[in-house]
Amino acid sequence: MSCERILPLLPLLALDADDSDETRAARGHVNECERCSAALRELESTRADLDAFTVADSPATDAAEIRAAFVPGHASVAPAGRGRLRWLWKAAAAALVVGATAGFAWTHGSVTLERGTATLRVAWGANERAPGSALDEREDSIEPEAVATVLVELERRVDQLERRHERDLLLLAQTVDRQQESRERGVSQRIDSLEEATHDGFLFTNSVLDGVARRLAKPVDATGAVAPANPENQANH
Amino acid sequence: MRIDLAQATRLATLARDGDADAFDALVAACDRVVLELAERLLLDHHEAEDVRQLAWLKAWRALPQFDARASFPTWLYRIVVNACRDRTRARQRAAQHAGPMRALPLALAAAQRGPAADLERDELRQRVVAAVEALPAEEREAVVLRHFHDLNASEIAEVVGRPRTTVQSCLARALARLNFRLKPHAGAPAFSDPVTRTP
Repeated sequence: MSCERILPLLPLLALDADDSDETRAARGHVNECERCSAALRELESTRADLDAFTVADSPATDAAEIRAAFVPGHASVAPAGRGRLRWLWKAAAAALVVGATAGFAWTHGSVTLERGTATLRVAWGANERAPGSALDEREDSIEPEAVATVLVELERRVDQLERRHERDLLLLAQTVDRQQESRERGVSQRIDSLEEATHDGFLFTNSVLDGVARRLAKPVDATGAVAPANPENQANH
Repeated sequence: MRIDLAQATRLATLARDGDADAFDALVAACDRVVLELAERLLLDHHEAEDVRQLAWLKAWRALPQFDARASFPTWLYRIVVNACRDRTRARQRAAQHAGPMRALPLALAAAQRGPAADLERDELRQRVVAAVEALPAEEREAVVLRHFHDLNASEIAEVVGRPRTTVQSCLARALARLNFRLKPHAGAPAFSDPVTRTP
């Protein structure tokens, strides 16, 4: 491995942050190359300087106070944006359930008032005028069981609506999550490719600059052409 | 400083299952680490204390969702890093609204509060803090988690939510930048300015 290939790997060696074959090979080169060895020592010294970034003492956190703040799991730690979205959907679902309940009551409504032995029933909507319906036939002899039946039916319908909307909300949340994950993955891949491209660009620039530096270091004859290299120097180099 | 992985995960599992003493022990074991991470990311001691408190509240609230198969330190570090990111964003917004007078050099302010054993050490600390402050946020996160918390590249990737290769790039760039700032007259020409080739 050449020094030019080793240099970008030296920070990872100094941080001991990579154990790939390439880094192991780089370490082997560093052990034999004085220039790379000096560069690595310098980076290790820089890393050691970081220890000067000390943190002042501070009173410890009172764990009991944290525990007293609230019951664990009482609220989710979802990001604020998604939390707001869920609340919006919950509000919309609640409005829908109330609307459906009101609609059902409008077409099937009846109210029963009881005072001791006297009972008064007021019915409206479709059931009131449905000829021959059970409620209509018993209009004058009101029975609490009929009201109970209506209420049970009402509750069943509301339960159905709630379950359906919960399912819809769950599907919607899953879809939003999937879309967000997909978007994040795409952005992350794009950043990676950009970073790789940038890194390659730096390596190329470094090699060009090194070439220019070497060229400038060579002697130039009167016509401006670079003099042929001294074979002895080349061999030493 | 590194959290004892096995002990912390065991305590977290007990705390999740309702053992209050285990949670207290967990806080005692990891509190200092949380403060150090927050301060080195935010470069402000008082804000770090706030974030530490907030991080513990978030951890306590989310504890029922903690999976015992996961690593507790990684889970906790992620909470702290996210809390620091939120705080940084809030600080930037506040600075935008308040104008330049609010944008005080945080590194200097933090350095003045540091424990200065002697002048030379304090001077080095100020230079290191300034160099760390100059790093982009993702590089600062990576190098702080690597050097001070001894996390490897894969663990850092899990905490910061970025690919391992990106983390390694961040680490390499971060150390090169720090070297350039802390040792401007050092002899290794390759690291005089390896990233931007600007002073």
